[in-house]
Amino acid sequence: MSLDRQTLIFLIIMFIFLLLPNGADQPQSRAEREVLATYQKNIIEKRKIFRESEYYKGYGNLTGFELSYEDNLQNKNASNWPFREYTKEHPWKETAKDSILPNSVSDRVKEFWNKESIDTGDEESRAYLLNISGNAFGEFEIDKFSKELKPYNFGLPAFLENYFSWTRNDQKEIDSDRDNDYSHADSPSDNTNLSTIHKIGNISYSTGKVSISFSSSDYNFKDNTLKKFVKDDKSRVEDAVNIVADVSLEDSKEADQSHLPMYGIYFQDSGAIALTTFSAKFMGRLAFPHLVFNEKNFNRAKILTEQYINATESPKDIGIDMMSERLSSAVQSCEYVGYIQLDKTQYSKSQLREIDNELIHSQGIPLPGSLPRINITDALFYSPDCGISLSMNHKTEFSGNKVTVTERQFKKILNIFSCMLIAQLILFIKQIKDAKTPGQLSNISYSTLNLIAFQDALLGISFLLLSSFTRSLYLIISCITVLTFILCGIFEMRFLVSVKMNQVNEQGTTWWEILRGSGSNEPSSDSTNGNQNEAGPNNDTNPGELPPPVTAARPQPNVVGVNDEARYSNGVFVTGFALSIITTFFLINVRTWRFSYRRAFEFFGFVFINSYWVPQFFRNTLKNRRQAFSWPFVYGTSALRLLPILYLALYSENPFRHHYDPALAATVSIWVLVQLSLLHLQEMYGARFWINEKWLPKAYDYHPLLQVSDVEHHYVSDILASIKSQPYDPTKASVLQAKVDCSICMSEVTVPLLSNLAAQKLLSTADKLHQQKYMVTPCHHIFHTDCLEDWLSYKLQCPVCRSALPPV
Amino acid sequence: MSTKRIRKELADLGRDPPTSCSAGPVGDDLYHWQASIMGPPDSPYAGGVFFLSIHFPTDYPFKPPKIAFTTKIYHPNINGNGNICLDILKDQWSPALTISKVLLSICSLLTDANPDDPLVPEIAHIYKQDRAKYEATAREWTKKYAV
Amino acid sequence: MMQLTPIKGFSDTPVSKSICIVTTLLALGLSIFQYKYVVKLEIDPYIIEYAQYWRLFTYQLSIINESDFVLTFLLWFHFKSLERFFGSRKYLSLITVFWLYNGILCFLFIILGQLGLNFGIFLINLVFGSTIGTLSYSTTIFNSVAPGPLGILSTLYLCHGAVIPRSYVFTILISKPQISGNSLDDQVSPSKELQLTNHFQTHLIYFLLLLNNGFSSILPCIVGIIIGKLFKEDILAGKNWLLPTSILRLFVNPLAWLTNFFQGRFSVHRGYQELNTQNDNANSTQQLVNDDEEDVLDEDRANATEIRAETPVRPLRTQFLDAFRT
Repeated sequence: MSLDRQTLIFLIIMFIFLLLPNGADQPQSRAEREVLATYQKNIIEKRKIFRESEYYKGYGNLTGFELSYEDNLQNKNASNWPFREYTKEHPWKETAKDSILPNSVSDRVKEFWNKESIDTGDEESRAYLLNISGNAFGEFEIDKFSKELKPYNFGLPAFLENYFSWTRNDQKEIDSDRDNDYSHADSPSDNTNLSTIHKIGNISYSTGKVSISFSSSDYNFKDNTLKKFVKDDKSRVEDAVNIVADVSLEDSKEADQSHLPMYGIYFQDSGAIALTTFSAKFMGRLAFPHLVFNEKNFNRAKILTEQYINATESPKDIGIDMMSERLSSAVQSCEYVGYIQLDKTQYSKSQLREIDNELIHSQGIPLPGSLPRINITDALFYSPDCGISLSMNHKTEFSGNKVTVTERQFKKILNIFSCMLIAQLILFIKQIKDAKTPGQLSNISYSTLNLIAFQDALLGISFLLLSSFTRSLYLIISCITVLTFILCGIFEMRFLVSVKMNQVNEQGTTWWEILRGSGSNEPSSDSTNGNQNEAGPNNDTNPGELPPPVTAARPQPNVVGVNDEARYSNGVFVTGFALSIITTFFLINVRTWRFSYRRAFEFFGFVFINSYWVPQFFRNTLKNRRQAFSWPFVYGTSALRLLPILYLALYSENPFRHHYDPALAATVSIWVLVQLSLLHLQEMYGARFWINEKWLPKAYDYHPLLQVSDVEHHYVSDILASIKSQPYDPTKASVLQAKVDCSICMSEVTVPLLSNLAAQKLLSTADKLHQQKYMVTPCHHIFHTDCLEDWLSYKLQCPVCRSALPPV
Repeated sequence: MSTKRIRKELADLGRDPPTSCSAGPVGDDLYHWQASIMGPPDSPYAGGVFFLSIHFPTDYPFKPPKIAFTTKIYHPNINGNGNICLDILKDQWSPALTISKVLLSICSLLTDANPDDPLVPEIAHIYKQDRAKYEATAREWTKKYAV
Repeated sequence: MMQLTPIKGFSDTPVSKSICIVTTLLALGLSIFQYKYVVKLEIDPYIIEYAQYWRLFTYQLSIINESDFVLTFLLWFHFKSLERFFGSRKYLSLITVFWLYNGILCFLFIILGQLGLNFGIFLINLVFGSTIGTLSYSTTIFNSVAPGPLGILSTLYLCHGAVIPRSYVFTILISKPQISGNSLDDQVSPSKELQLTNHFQTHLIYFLLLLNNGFSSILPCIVGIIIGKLFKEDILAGKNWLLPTSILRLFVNPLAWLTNFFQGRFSVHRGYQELNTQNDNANSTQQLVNDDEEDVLDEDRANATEIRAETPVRPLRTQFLDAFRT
């Protein structure tokens, strides 16, 4: 491979760009470096406080935790910490006097949280879930006492405040430079007043939906990252694990969505979960062990939290990025502390462990029918700085499935889906084999195939994107992707191209003309006639019959060659691909819309995608054909594409979490049934049963009765020459026999010519039979029926002037 | 059907022979003809007589006849085996074409070659670059093989 | 009957063709859809704890590793000459019978093996007075068996050796022959040589299959050979049992069977209806049965006779090389 200098330089530059460390995470200036260093030092200090804390000592001097609830009510200032001295005789207690939780909240939590615990060594009685990686979905409502809560005003440490206002000023300068707008002068004061109006998590609506996605490990000493921090038996915690939860709250219309990342601990012996958010203004994670209501929990929580923090973040690794992130979440979102209580499952610990094992590595061990779910009996979320308290809405269930169970459901569904894809592939192959001749190909509607192929391409691309997000489902998803791409990229593409090539002579003609049965023949025959008259010496006996002979290269209208096929398939491929990619991204965007818009879009989308038989119906009418596709293909394709929609809409526990929507299912299935019944009616009653024949232009009749007056224009002079001998009187009704040469077999065709319309009655039965023996093309050439029909099975072109002929 | 048509064509050719071409069956086989073309006077092939072989398929006239030169000729659209690159003998065939019309079109092909879609690229190249040389070679070959 | 020409591909052996296709599709399907555990047979935990006795019949259906797959496929391919010998129906019946016998007998063997080991430990405890505890079932070599039709193939291997004649024999000299100097009564010291027949390919592949998975493949192969020997001595029943024809037709050509089935049920009389030339009811007389078989194999047979007719008699070296080609 010979590289010229330019390519080499380009490659070197790209190499350097890619290899250089990412500049975004580095401090940009000395001031930033100082801020970062202070921040890191701050964190090391707080961690020291955390490590030395004991339950009776209270929170310590952790950011956000200096004031207790009552101190806040009395408007004390956090910089005057400490306000009380805690000793073993007067320990720190979980009341509003000492803790940040108000009494209403802590009383409420004590009602449901951590009530019943089972023995650690007990393996046989009903146990709480061991591994709660999974999701839970439910509804919440704002507690009544929430209105009386006074929000805290957490302040940022001084150095961070300066840094923040400095960056905010910078940003404002940049903005004002860009906008050149002096109205920024009267914007609200740029001190970091952290009670801005709209924050993430500041719930203004009274009820809404909550969804939590947990990710936890089995036991702390089994987790890969934590293992090295479990140094001795004392730091092995047998019955509690670290969890990370993603909580999202939204209102019922899904217009307002808040997303809170929280950290917490799950106590496996009592089914109790405690969660907290953390940011630059609220060191929730370090104060977390004090939020768990009793000393036993405190000890376990402290060990686990320390291991987690040591495993995931050392202060030296905190870069500018992470600091800015903590800072922005401090400014933008409310802090939350959450308490969740799970229900006991009906299985014992050993059974649960077996079930977990089987779910992860499927060994063929039979599983019980009802797998344990994440069932939340009660939950409460309290925000100290926004003064909001939410708890679970007991009217609906707050539960969900574990991740492994969801994956198992997905596996089953995807297996069935791939079988359906294989069935669709087989149907397609059979259909392609059945429709090989040009006559059959011209009946097939290009738009029908286009819609079907578009749907398959969309499926293929979405599955391709999906395969990069899962690990355990990767095999089956990539199988489905391969199958879909084979289906749409190879077979459907070839079918499309062959149909397109076959129908290429319909380009430029309107459907009105196709209905008449004539293609774009009038102008071309005139032009070739004109050419013929100029190229004089090559004529012999029949002027006006043959276009001048051409060699291979001169382009002709309606010529389809090998180059065209490549051009068509490239064009189809590129447009299809581009369209599917754009639509895929659009669909991904639709997921973020609110519920009512999504539902409306779904309705229209599914009905549109499932109307692929409508263009075929119209094409059948156009060409007056009863049937184009074979019935097994029609039924099979419709069923295979309808079933997933029915499954999503009707099966309320589908793993995709699609809402139960019988209206959608009914609409789509009725629409598909309507299309199928229309196609059936076309087969039974003829393709144009739904149109009054009088509105249509008359279909082309290949066996017309000719009159002498018709023949005088456009027809070859031979006809008139042959009747010269016979007497012709337009007033008298008589039938003249004209003789023409059929240019295919070179023998004579006798055509009865009427002198006037009245002569129709004079036709004998022999003459009427004779009418079927000759065919007249739209370009006024006459042939024997047998000859022309034979030729039409090869090509739909007039032998004399090469204009397109309507099929018989 | 094809026999009848071939017979009719033969009769027509006998009745009304075109100038500078002639064709007829080889021996008894009606489906195998031999034809001859006089080199057109305004082409470098003037003065030569070129022989062709014509094979009719059984589904003639719906399929084109297979025509090939048996005399060597120097032409961009005719190769060393005598195969002719002519569209009406391939996908532009029409049943209304007769052997006489086809032979006439071959004659006009001799007069006006089509170098943009050649069967022998070297000859087409010379045709485009140096017309005089092409004509000289054509005349030479005509004198050598077709007289 | 001597075969002068090898059989080209699967001509005239539809059962072998179906078996090869089914093997491939099953192996692929099981691994893509992650159902491999269906064909495993293990005493502990499947039989003992969950009593999944259906595994006795499923473990022979498919293989779960690639090297086994290649070897079993090649063996099925070689045994298509057995199908030519027995006829398709009898071949399929034999395979079914072997499948049943192998499933049950192999299972009995591994149970006996487990119990035997435990009994051995008990005896050792008794004799030597030591106190080694009982052996856990999952740790012994008798716990599981390599999945796949190993037993069936072993029995068929025996049949193949017994029934298919040898068409040539050749020897490979391992050491140079020594000719003693000038005396006429040459005592040509016999050089070491290896005598092989045209079956050496089958022998080779079979022994590879036998050793491929260690003990868990040796056991079912030995069981298969034992069954083969017992079968030959007529100790085990089933030599004369034949499969019903409809099942044979279903196995050989399921698509035609399906379309026949649906046409019979759902056909709507619409004008001209083609005559149904196939027999729908399976008559028990032998002649009709043979006719049905002829129906199934007709098209392939026509092709085969053409191909056979064209190939001339071949010299030995071509026969030898052809063993590698077909």
